Amino acid sequence: MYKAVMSTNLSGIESSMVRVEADISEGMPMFELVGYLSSEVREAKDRVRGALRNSGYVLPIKRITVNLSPANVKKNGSGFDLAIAIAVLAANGEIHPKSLEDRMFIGELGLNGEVHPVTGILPMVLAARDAGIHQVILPYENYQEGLLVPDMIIHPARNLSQVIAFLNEQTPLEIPEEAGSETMHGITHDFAYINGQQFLRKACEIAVSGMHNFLMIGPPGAGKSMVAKCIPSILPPMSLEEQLEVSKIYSVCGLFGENPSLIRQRPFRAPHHTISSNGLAGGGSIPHPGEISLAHRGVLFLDELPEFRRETIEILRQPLEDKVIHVSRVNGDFTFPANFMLVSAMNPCPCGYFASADAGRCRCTKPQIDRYLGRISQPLLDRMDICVSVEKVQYNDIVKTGGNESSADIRKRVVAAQEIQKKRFAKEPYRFNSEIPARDIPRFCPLGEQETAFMKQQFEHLGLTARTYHKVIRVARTIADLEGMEQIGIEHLMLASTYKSMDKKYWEVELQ
Amino acid sequence: MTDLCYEYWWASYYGLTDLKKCRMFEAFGNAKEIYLADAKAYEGLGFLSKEQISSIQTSKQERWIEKKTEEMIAKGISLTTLAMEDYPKRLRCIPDAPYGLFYVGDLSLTEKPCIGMVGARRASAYGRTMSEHFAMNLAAKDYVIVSGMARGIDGASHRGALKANGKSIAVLGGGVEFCYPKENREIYEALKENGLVISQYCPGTMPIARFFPARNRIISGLSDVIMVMEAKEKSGSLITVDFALEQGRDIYAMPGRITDTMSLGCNLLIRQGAGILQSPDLFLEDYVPRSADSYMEEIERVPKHTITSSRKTDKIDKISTVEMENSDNIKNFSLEKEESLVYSCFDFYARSIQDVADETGLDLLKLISIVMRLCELGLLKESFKNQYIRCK
Repeated sequence: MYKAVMSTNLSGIESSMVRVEADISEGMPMFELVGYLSSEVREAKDRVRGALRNSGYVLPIKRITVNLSPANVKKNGSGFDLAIAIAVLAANGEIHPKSLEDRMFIGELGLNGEVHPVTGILPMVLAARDAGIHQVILPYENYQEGLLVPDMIIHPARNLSQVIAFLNEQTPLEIPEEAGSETMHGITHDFAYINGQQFLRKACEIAVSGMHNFLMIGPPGAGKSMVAKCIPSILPPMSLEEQLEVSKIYSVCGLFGENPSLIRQRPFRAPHHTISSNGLAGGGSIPHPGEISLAHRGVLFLDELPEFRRETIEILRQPLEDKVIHVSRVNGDFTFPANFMLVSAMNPCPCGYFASADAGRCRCTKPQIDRYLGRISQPLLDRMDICVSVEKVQYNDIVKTGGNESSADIRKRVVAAQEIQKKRFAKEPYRFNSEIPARDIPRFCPLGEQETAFMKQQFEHLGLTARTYHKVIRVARTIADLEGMEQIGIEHLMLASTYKSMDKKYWEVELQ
Repeated sequence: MTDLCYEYWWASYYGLTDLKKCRMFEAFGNAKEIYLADAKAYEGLGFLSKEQISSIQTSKQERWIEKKTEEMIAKGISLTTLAMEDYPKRLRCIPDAPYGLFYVGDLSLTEKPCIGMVGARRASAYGRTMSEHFAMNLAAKDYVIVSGMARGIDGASHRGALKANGKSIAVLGGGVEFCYPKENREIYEALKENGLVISQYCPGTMPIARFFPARNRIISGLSDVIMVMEAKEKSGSLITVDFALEQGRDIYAMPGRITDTMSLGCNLLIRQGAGILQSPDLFLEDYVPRSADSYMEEIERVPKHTITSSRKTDKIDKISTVEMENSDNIKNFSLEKEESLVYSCFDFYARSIQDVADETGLDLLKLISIVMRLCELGLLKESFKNQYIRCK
């Protein structure tokens, strides 16, 4: 007899529907599993056999064939176990075929029949919704995560017997208790605790408002990392659409933890500089999203930028432009979203005091500095919209208490500036000033006569490239938005051009 | 072999110290005589060891010397030696003058009044700006700037001289056909055309750090005075000062702030009695140019004299103070109140925007537009990311 149930296959961060077909026929007794399977799916055969036996069902001594269709897509993961077991039982006439309609099965089986949780529930349930299926049976522990998708009926299963009873007799399934009130991740870092550094604070505000990439250069102890840690506190809230996008990635990586809920805060990822290229970009034989995808719609903070391996940071160049990363492996090409804001910090030389107020302490030689800077390419530096040099904090500022603007106040301005951008780009595929393509710059960032003259002079005097020229205008657009101004003024351009990207020329002049 | 080949041979022979080479030259009269003399004659001098003599003998490879000389001529490099008329007179008078000098450019510059400028390679923006300023003003008055074409002060000095269309001499620590460091290629090319590049090392010698002290002694030897523009407490520039004192040259140092480690060496020199460099004009008040010939006359009389010479440091120069006031007025005249406030916050030491914002309490947008305007007027320039210094 032939029966089929629906399940789903996760590939990258997207999920696609899979029909699990079972056929029981006369012939040599055997249990065969086909359909382009990876080894963990092939092992499902033994788990299913054990789970069925220990749940009180014995496989018929017949020829059992299970096919996972479409057969040309590689199947990964352990989430097919439940669907295979149900399909075999249905083919054997143990389950009422009617009860399989409009339902999808996800779950890994233990030999004792227990249903174990799997990762990637969110994209899987989303795929079910897109395929028009309304009910999903999934592991008990994944219940909360499944509920994240609106308009879906989620059935949590603890073990195989429960599922069979539910399907045949409508025995209600045990629903986990509603998890206690959502614990907000306490934000301990607040701009209110940052004294002085007005110039740097302003840069952060602008960077976040327009999602501009941001580089801080300065001596050790100037507060670069501290400021970076405060950035999450001024990030604007995410829309529901964005929350789902981000949550999907976290679901696939199994980073939801005990208490799954949609990721509501913009992610802030700060990988250590020993990270490998695969860790940053995503990789593995079955590619997993890397840090740049985990920072999607949020912030990727790279502290001590030149300490990263050169080939690792050079990977950033393409995702910074395309906002996605393509990972090609034997098992296929995967595309992960990577629309993040890059925040990075570095010292001007190995000891960190070069060209600072303590320049006298710097003993680095030219070759040492060249080597240090050589780890970051100029094209990468060019991709930083905003670059600011940070000076050490003055004594008066260290001892000062209070009187600083808090993150909440800054956040209000950021949100307002992003509202303006949302309205402006309502008809465009992009959302932020930092993403305005060069061809649209004249439309969204018109310059007056005086402003054009200023930019012309800047272009000639500072030797700007076309790319940096556009970046200055984009940043000026954000500054004007923060001020609530329709028209970009000359002072906005001036501030933007003081924040313009870093150039190795600075070091050359200093070392001449 | 031509006479030049003999001279080349002796100039490019580095198995003996310069002092011994000179003594041999004095004993034999010229390089040809040295070449033709035999081991016995050498022994007769009494100051050469057996090894040294055999080493001299093995260096007498006629074909090779001829080839090298031809190569030198092909590269456009000239040679002057103690045996020749055009050897720089000032250098001839120092105790351990190099026997030969390889050069490209105009050797007669060495007979003009020459001023040596030395200082740290890792100089501050202040040091570089002021070096350029001094070199520019002095070169414009037809003084020749002598320096070592290194990074930092040296480069800034040459650059200043070239900006004023003045003359300048670069003394290198390797063969003159090597431009070291690479960054100063433009200076090197300009000096070859319109100045002088000189070295005691024969063509093909790679610039090595241990040659540089010997190079410094030529810088001071070629100059009437040595200006130390910026030096840390233990700086290589102070080696040049030692040579200069030995050679009886006057020392001037440019003062810095007492807290500034980059100027510590200079301030110490001033304390020890070096002249103070306040402005090019005030310096010229003190400085009496000496003709190169006067060194030749002096050498017979007094071989050495000390650092102290008559100086008018206590005299306040009326003209230059008036000039200074005037220029200050002109500056302030065109500036608005806030602009001159911001301008007064900047210095020849780099200051960051953040510092000035803290000091003036001005709004960031306002401050930046003022800074930009001052840059536009050429009063300020960005020395490093978000750091500015005065230009005038």
